Amino acid sequence: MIPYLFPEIYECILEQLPVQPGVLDDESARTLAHCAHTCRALRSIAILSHIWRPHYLARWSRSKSPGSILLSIACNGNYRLMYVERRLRDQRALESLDRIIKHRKDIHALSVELVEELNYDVWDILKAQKVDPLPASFSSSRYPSEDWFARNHWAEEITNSMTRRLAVEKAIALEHGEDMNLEEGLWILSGFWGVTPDEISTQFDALASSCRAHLESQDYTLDASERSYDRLGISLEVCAWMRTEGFEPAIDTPDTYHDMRNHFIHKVLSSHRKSLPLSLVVVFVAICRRLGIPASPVGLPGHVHAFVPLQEGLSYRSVWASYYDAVEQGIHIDLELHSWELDSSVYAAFCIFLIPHEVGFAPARGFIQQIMAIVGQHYPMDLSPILQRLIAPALGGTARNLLERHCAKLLEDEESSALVSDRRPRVMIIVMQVIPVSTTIVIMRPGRLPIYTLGILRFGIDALERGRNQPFYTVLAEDGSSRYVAEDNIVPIVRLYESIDPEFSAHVGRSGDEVLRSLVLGCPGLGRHFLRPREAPHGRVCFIPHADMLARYPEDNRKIFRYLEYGLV
Amino acid sequence: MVTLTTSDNESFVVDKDVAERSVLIKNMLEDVGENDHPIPLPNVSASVLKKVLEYCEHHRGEPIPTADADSSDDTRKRTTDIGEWDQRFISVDQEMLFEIILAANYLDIKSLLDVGCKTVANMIKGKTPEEIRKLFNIVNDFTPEEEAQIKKENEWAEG
Repeated sequence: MIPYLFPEIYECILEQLPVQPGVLDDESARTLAHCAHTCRALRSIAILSHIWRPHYLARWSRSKSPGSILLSIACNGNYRLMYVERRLRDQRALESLDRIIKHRKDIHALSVELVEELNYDVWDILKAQKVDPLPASFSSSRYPSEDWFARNHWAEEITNSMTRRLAVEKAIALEHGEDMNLEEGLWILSGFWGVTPDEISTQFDALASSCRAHLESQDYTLDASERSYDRLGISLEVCAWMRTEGFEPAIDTPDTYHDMRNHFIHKVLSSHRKSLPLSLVVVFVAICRRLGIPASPVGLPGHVHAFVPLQEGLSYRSVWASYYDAVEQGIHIDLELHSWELDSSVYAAFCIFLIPHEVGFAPARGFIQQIMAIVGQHYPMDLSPILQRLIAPALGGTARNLLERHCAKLLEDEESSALVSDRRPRVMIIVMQVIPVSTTIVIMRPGRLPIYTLGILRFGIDALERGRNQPFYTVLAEDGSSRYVAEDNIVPIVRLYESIDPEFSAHVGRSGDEVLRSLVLGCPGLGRHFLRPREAPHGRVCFIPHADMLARYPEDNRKIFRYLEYGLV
Repeated sequence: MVTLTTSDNESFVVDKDVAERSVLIKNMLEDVGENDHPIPLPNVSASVLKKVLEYCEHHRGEPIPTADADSSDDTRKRTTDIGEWDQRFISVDQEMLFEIILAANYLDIKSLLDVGCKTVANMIKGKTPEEIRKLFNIVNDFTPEEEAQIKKENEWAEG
């Protein structure tokens, strides 16, 4: 006969349920919930807060966000109630994400719910939607889920939008005089790219610790109380070390100097170590402070340099320039940027320019028009929670009205275009452009040549067999930019494989899988329109559109099938 | 050497350091001082004590975790898996498993209690309320109203 256990033994057993980090495995917590459903005695133990605590802390990495502190107060610090509430929020987030992927309707109400209301509480569950690494194959049944590519895209858009919202909040706080160090302040700009403050500070920490190791190998002591402590020597050595790590002034050509990415600290820390004096000063100061040296940037705006006090008690406070000075001097835009990088840069800059109260109406109108164009094209999730509900209320009268009007208009357009499917991409066969032979391209939607595309005519449209009298398509290139091409000027990949033209040989060598892989990496935005890429035999590749699109246009479905199965276009 | 007498009146003679894996026995020995009287263990049967002593014998000489050290880090003990020997040792039928847990609790052998409880925790993981009731030999004593309330509260945990 099985003996009865005591309450304290039940408690010990439930305390031993394994704690799984991350949002994907919640079996232990569900087991606790099941125990609370068995009988009164076991329930009284299974609902104890301290038993739930480790499961709560392990599931959500952002358990100390402002939202969760409010939650903790509302739940009286009871970890079971907090767990259940956040579990429900995770579920809500996934349901809203599903609705966005499936229907693309009410996207703005859903974006407010996700980005503003649920916010960091659902960060982990959204991050966990990412399929990483990419599936080994895009063929038939071996993909993670029916909609994995769209899911990746939207989940990332939502978390990026959360990060941008935090950046805008910080920018508004800064405008209201909140004290902020330069590192935090510069993060605001990177925040528009979806980079979190943690990512920046982690990189600085890593730099500082390798710099520390270098200094120690050179016999410098970093203990200020030691007699051999030499702050001047250390500072100079930090500069020298930074140079060996590739941090140098960008003076080679005017182009490198004016590259907009030099203003974004996450780029300065990675691909753009040859950068502006300002950015280099920030890196130097951030490293020094982590080594216990009270360095600070001085001379903002204008000739920025770093200041290191050699006597105690001597200090400068950093002085923030008005953002507006940057406008007066004109900003330099490097057109060699990836189109989406350019848009992120401009979006960040113009939001930051717009927020200060002294900005005049004429420049404000210019900023707003640019911002609306970029958000409309790339960041639909930002429209309500950031532009309409955060930036607009922070602006002065006329600019505020203008932004609100633009937002309302764009909202209306988006909602109606979600209903009118003709405005959404339909055909999705991957083709190759013939003149010049270039990257693979996805046909986005059929369209006639509009009268104003004179630029294209100059590229020799009339030299094509059918000249202007043929269908033209809006297409998306591998680098994310879009353009018009004539039907005569494109060749489906399947025909390329059969082609013996040596001009194509370099491209023919790529398998359909490779083509898809580069498109998936180069154009993550495709997830906005398609559920997932698909590869069929003989290098036939395509993107599968949303089910409601297929239902509306059954002939597309047949086209895809005929193409994938028989290679017919 | 220490003599231990079980509930079914069997005597076990063991080394002092083996017996003192049990905090209960250690405290008793300290309280009564050095003498040859057998220590009665009225809550433990011979078959269970034999098993418990096997565990104590195997782990003799290892440091005994104190209560304080344990509570300072409540996630540590959960992440450490059951060792290979312990796993083989604890592979017993459910009745014996529960008896060992009860004995470890009574004798105050924290590490053995943890091994036993962890084993039970792994047994209930992923089980339905009904399966857990069966395992613990307990009866559903909720009123229909309470039952409905709990069902609603647990909706997130289903499916």
